[in-house]
Amino acid sequence: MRKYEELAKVIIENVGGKDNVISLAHCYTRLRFKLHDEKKAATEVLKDMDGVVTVVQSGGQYQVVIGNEVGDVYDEIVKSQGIAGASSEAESAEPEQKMNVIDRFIDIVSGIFTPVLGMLAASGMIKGFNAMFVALDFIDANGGTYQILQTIGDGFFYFLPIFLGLTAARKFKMNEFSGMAVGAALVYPSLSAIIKGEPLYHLFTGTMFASTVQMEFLGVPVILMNYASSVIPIIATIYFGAKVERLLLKTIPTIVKGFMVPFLTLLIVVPLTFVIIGPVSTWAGQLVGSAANGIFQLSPVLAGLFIGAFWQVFVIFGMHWGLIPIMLNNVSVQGFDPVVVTYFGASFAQTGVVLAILLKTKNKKLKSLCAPAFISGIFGVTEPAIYGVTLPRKKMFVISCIGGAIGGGLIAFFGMKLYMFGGLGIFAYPCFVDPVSHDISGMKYGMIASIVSFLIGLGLALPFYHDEKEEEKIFVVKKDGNKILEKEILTSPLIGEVMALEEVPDDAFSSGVVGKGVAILPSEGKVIAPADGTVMTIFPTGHALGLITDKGTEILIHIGIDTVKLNGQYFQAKVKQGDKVKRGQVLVEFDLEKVKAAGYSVITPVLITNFQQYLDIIGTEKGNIDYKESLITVIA
Amino acid sequence: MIEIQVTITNTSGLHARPAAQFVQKAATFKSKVKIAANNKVADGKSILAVMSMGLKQNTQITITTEGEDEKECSKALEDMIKSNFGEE
Repeated sequence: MRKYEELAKVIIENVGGKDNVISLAHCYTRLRFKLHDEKKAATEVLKDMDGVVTVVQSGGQYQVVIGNEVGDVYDEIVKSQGIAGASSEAESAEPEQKMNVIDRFIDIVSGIFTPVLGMLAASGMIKGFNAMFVALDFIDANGGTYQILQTIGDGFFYFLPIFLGLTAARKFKMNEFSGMAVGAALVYPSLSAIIKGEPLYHLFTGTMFASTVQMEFLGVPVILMNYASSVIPIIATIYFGAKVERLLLKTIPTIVKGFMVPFLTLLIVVPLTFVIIGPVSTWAGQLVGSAANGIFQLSPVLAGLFIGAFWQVFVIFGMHWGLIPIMLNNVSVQGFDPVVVTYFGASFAQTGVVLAILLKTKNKKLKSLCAPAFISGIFGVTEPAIYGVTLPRKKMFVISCIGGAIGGGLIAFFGMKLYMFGGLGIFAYPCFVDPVSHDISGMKYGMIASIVSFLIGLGLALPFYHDEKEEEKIFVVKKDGNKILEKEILTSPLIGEVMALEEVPDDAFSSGVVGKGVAILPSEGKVIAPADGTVMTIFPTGHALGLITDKGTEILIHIGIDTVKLNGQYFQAKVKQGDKVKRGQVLVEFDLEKVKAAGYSVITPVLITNFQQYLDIIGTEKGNIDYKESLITVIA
Repeated sequence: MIEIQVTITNTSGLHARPAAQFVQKAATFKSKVKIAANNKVADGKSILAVMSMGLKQNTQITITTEGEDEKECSKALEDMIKSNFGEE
């Protein structure tokens, strides 16, 4: 593949050199780089380069669109430039390169959860329904049916660190079985028995870091925590473990690598986790606990807002284990807990957000995840909702925290108390009934607070949720023997806001079957020709027209949704069927305000209808577009 | 090969949206689809072609389907036109 050698070299030079490349993968037409710093890439130079169609920067990926020969160019880069190609697995992984630490963190956590989301949703449903069956007295809470269903539903949650050990190991490129072995060690059942046993001695008694030590490892005190169902400890451990493993792989002789590497990795990583992560998590939890208590003394409502807002965050980090003892203590000493109970709204807020996304999204995959996440959320099992739906979409997670906060504030305001430990979600209501006076007002407050949290989650998420522009809005058909790169750039026929086709409120267009392209929400009632061509068809009503460009691209522009019903009113066609038009020539004028006032959406799909003849159809990355700015690139 | 004749009954004729629905439906079948009317013939799987026929209400059209699923295809398209594309 001599002919691609030069191209490969120049591309690497212009993405900022080999050292700037984190990884490289390719799809049908594009080289997909992950770069350390996208600013180092000479994007304009690349765009103008022979053999490069254009550059697309999207979702943390720097994509150089090559066309049909992308496979050859890729091979050449891997071979002559010494850049290791990413496996197909890495290709589907979440983009890693993002601006800040929080983004990166969320990306990593959601990436690690992606492979287990289906299982998470399934287990959540089983747990939820099982709780419902007991609440409705279908089955006995002490009977075998309940026990076995609970085993099925909770087994996955309880041993979650083992599963996350596997997916985290994939993510951080560690041996998968070593990852699982680390996870298994963390949740080894006899450890949780030891936690419940008598402590050896106490450390830092009387301070915020007061801890009980149940065991020592080679003389070092080990502060155990409950690792069952935990998330962050295993991820942190595997992140570190992957580094240890890599170091060992380099230093240990090949002949004994097979067992020595996992042998030493486990012996180093697991004890360190117990010695470091245990106390850090425990102390962080205690810190949160005393903060919550302190705020509660000052103002219960403030404490409610605080706990309600951050409960889900505490759960992600396992810090809620610092709050649970306060709850236990309050119930056993006073007979009720008024502090930690303020968490109650949080799961409802999550569920409300999930319902909003379920109603709004057009993404089938997301929809199929939202439904079980919603159902198990009602029963108080929010993991599918958090890790599958809201956390990866940060704004949605924040909204759920707001809903949780208001719920928590309300609970504190009402002075609602928790008297006993029982069900989760909607099955927790009976826990708020005073067992002595049989006063059920607490239950009513619980219902009000949970409904408010739910509605806030739903109400805020509805207007704020938008499907992300799907990265792969391309339709690719391989053309045989066509090695000549043909492309045509279509300029914008309108001025306005660019939207993904998926957002068009009409299935005929949003499904992409009629054509591929983008939609524009125009800010002016004038449509101009996107290229030189011929008017193939224009409706007498003037609301839709078809063009064929001189290069043979067929374009459909449909002004507004359902606007045929206006029967031509407010539309004025400036051309007729068969007319030759020049780029920029006015095709249709319409009265934007009057169309809107008549109750019609003016969102205008601009579609390539003969998309099957093209390798790739690339919509602009811009959010707003002016007349004649480049809108769609088609590649033959 | 199956040939059927149908009259367009929906008020606005085979304009963009119904044309899109028609093409979308046609695309789900393997058969070739042709529409003929007013001495013109169009590829029933190309929306621009269908639209450029300018088919109005009360126009009689001939739909020709040819292929392994021609029967189902013909039936589905006929039903769609007769149902007025869901318009009132």
